Amino acid sequence: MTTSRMEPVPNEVVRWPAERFYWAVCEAPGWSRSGLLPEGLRPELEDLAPEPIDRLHAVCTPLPNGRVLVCAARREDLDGLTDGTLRLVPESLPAFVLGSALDADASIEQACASLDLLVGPYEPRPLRRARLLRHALAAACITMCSLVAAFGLSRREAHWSALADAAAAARERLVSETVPETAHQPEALAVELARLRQGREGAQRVRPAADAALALAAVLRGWPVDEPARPQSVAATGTGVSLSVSLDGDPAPFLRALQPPKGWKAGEPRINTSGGTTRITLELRADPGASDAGDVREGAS
Amino acid sequence: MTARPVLTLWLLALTLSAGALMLTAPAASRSHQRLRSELARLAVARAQAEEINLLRGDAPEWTRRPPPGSGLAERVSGALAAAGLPATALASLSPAAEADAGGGSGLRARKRRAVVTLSGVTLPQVGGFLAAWRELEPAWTVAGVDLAQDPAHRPPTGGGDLPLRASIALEALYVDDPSGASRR
Repeated sequence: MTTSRMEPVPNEVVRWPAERFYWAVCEAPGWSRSGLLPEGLRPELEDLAPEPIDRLHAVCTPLPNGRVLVCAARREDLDGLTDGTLRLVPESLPAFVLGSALDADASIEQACASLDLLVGPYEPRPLRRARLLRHALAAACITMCSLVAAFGLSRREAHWSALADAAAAARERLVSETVPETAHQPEALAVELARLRQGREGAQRVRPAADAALALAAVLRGWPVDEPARPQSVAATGTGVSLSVSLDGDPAPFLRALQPPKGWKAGEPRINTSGGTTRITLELRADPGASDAGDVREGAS
Repeated sequence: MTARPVLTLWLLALTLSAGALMLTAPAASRSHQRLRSELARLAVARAQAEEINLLRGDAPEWTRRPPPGSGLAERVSGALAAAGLPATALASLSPAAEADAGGGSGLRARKRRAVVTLSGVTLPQVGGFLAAWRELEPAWTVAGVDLAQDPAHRPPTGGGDLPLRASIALEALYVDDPSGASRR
């Protein structure tokens, strides 16, 4: 020990002989920490200590078999330590501990090192300051991280809100453009869609009349004008034409010369002959399977 | 004792951290949920609008026609005049009542029919009338044409076109939609 009281050297470790401490072994199953003596063990120490417990400062370290080794020193002795003392540990352990609980040198050294009495109210000021500083830095770090996270969340909230507003505006614009008359109604698109689907199904059930004028024109375009025939009647619809013709003599030239429109078929003619006059009744029908049946309309128009 | 300042320090730090996060996290969560909801609604709206446009484009032409106006007699007279036929060529005009076209409950399809009978007209005159009618009245389809010799008119003795009696069935098919939605 070369330090003086006037110039304390930091990090100083003071070792006192085991005789300067009070020692005890207490039953404390489950206790596994070194440090200040827990409040629960103080009554047991009070029974064993030769001095009032409030005049002692005690620490403990766990031993095998659920026991703890208690080391206590007088408070007045601790008050006399120099300010630069950072640790106060026993030089060795008492004989009754060495014989019964600890036998290896490493374990003894470790037990001595863990019985630092400068803890709790006697914690050295530099260590306490450093510990507080560590806590403050850790707390500040966590607080800063939280604030940064909160700031980020706030910015994200603003960004997501802006995106949501833009999406809502885009949807409203889409609704207004698609169904301007009913855009103000809730679910206007769904209502319009259901109406159109129903309308499509309804429209598929409706059969619009085909243009009979086109059919008539197409049939008349193929009329055999060179054959001497007298038309009696022509009845045209969009899908068929029925015609009745009378002529003198053989009807075959007329029937050969009559050309059904493209995509149409001529039915078998009915022929009645009376007094030298032949009457032909013929039906022309658009062939639904013919791919060029639509040419009637295109050609006629 | 040093436990109290450390405890106070940590309490303060944790309170501050928790407060900041509790103030911002729920709002951010709500905002994110709203964004997801809005994006989902926008996607649905886009799909619906696309299908609506598709259905409108695929709808038959007659579903977009307005109902034919009244005054069929004037319209027929106009077509006769446009075809160069005298008004006396019109032998009869028989409009039928408006009827359901069979669209079911999904579509209020209606149709009107009328039969125009022209008398003493030649085949070219019938063709002229039909051409004029189709041009002037696209809402009305010529559903049928019956041509027959007109017993009331004698055939020309010097040759020429036979006088005919033409019965022309007209049909107008449309959607009775007061809102006009089907014609968009």
